[in-house]
Amino acid sequence: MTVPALPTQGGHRSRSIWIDRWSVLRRHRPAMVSLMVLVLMAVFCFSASAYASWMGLDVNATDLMARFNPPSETNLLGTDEIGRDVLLRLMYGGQVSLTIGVLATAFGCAIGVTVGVLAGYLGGRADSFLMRATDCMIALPLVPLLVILAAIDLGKLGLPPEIVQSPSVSFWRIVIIISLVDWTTIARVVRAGTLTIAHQDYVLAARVSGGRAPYMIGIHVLPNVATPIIVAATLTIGRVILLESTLSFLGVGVMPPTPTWGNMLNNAQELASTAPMLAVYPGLLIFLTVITFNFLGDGLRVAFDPRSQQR
Amino acid sequence: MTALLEIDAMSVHFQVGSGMLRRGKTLKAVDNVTLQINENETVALVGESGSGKTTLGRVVAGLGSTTAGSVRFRGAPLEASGKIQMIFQDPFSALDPRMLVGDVVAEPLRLLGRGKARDRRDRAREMLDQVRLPKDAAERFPHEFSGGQRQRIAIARALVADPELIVADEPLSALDVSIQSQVLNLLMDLKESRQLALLFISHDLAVVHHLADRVAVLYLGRIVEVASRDGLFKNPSHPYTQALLQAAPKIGMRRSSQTTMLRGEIPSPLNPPPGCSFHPRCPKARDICRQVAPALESAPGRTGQLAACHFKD
Amino acid sequence: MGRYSLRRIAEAALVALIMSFLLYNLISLLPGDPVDLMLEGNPSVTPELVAQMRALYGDNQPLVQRYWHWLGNLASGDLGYSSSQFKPVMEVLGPALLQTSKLMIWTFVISILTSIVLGSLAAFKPGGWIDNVISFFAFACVSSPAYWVALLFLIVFSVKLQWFPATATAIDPDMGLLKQMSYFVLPILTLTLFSVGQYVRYVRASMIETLASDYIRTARAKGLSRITIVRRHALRNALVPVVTLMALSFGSLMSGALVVETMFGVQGMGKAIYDAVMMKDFNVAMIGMLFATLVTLFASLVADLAYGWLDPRISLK
Repeated sequence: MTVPALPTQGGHRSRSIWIDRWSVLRRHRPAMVSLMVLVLMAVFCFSASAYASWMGLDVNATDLMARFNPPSETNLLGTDEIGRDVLLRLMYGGQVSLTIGVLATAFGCAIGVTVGVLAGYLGGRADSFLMRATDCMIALPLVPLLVILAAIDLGKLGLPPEIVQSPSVSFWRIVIIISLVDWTTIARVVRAGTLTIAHQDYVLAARVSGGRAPYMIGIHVLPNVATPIIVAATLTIGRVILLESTLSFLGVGVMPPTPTWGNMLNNAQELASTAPMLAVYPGLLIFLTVITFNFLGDGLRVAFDPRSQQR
Repeated sequence: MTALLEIDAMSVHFQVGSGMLRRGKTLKAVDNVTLQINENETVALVGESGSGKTTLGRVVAGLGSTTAGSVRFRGAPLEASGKIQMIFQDPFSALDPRMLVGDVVAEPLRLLGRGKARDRRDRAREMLDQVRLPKDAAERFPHEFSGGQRQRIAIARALVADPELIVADEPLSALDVSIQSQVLNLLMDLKESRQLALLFISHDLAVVHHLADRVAVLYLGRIVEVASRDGLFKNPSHPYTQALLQAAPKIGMRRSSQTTMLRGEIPSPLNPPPGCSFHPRCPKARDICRQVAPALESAPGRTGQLAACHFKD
Repeated sequence: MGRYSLRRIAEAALVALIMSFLLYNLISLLPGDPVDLMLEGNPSVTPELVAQMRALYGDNQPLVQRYWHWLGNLASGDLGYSSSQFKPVMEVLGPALLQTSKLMIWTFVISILTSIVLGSLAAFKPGGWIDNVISFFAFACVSSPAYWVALLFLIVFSVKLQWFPATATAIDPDMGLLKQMSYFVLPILTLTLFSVGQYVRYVRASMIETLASDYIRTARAKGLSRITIVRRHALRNALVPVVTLMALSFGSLMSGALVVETMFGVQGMGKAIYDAVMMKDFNVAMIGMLFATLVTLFASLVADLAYGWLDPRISLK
């Protein structure tokens, strides 16, 4: 008995699911605008050194005679409270904030995916234990906790003095403590996905042929959970940037002279009366970055929603 | 005929509802089942929902463990050797939507470590051809195929590792009626050409009649009757079998000539009735049925046909 | 239902205990010798007391034992002394608690009311222009850094317009109530914006789902006006998940409170914890953080129980 041939789709290789998704995303205007803004923002921040050499500026050069200068030809946005060029600092600060955002999210994802997969795959007691732990993390007041974590004496943890005194320690400390507290959304999402997938017949079929847990998780679970992870991760980056800037503003985040958008607002209240615009720029950039990440995440969620993919 | 699969006094019990403090109840999904499947034989497992047939099928395929008794394949305990494969009921969850069909079909070979990637791919294409799907199906994704076609892909996957026994758990139930016969005929052709034994789980007696060599009837986890196909359909011994055959809708028959023998509904497997578990619904039930569970013994006059009833025909 | 509640309460107590242990470890990791820090604020220090403390809390003691002694002290009501303010911890945290409560209660009430109104408005016509404006507003609130918004408010309302005072440190109990309240307007406004941003989305989603359900459509078919429908039928059901979510967002409210209090000089719990960590005031930091954690755990416990109680489908388990 013959079966009618399948209609060919212009070529042998059918369209990958990712290509389909990209075309849906392309139609979602806020998401595409956000994506473009983010790309522009990244370009803006990471061209800092190029801009500096082009304009002949040094980000660390202090000039107490040139404090609070209004915008001029050399200093497009003026100078700050110790004479440094504001625009350049904003660019460098952006580099730091964005890098921390991505790194802390990546580490947080690693933790969240592990917790979620274990909870969803093992089920039973392990699941309830992990979920209770996650619920606890969610309920905790994050900023006070982070303030404490940031103030910990690393020497007491057993780290050698060279590390404790090194200039990049504040950077890495922020990355690590934020990733330690902000993995919960991802864990929940991954757990939900794993629970559904682990009971699908195709997983059972693989078990019949001898498939074991690492194979199942790597080949079947994770690829099918990839999209919710991407959505959650994008939204997490926004949150992480907010957290880092809050901590830097409070003085426990990235330490000066390394600029970040947060610590540029550290003495904000004095700036309020003397140079209000200096208080507006960093926050504006944070706001712009975070809101575009949120719009992008929302757009991704809509694009990846299986309900809009009915076939 | 040599015995391929021997199920010996197997029980599968689950603890339900136990928590940190409570002990929970025991769900006897499969209770003291003894059954044998021979080479090239098609044994149908028939029962209503809650009868335990899916659980039984899964244990045979290696997807669950037994609480008591044993299952042996050619005398040895079960292991994932590729000799037993399984086909599932829902074609829409049987294939990983992220994998190319060719990879889906080749997956058992990959898991069993047989052959190199290219050989596996070739073999997958061969199988797709055998289930009458076009050659380029291997380069497509599952969502591009209909339910019937997906079930064929699942069959191709089950055959790719050259199994000797396939457990088919209601493979036709989720398909459109017009497609069912196509897939059914495919299964039968494949069975002929390949020396394949089949454990065919179904609640559809018409299909069973078409396909099976022997039939086992399951009720609340226990076997109530085992017989050859003709023996069961022409001369059912157990009252439950008789009621099932009677209750099956026959096209063209008027309502008045069908009297219902089955009363009530199937009880929960958490609370099986004492003695013979069928007695609350049985038209022949007497006192002894409430107290003593009947053993599986030969029906009067017909060896080879076993029934578990105190008053079997 | 009773058994479920008891189990949840027992679990919550266990979690609280574990959290207190973790916090104790964490705060012990702050720079400085814990015994010194704990004794510094104590006006009646004697060599015997020092020796006794060393025996109980010294670095050479195993961590679990130190924690156990500390817990015992806590249970008997001895909260210790603040090393930065030379007062008993209660005298530092008691008033702080009062200030934070004022802030939180007003914020909670105003933001719940506002988000119910805005969320319902948005839900009437999903995709309409009102919905788009409200949704964008909610997005913007959630995406902005709290201290920056606070700063903007300061610049606009305090410096330029001189409507409200900039810091609350100048509060004098002798001032009239209205004057005192004026110090709180900006902090409350800032915190409210954040909560509203979060809640509006939940209210909107929940309301949309409820309004689409069958029994509402029956009410519409009966000819009831939209406002009546919302008031009499939809509100109660739409609010069930929302109420519990609000209780669960207590933690982020406390986080926001820390920032706002520090910005505006409100002497609340958040600021007390921050100052304590900065000044290595072991006792205040520990008690303050413990308190904040316990309150959030309590709020989530209440949310859990309330959810089980309000939704009859769950309470029948």
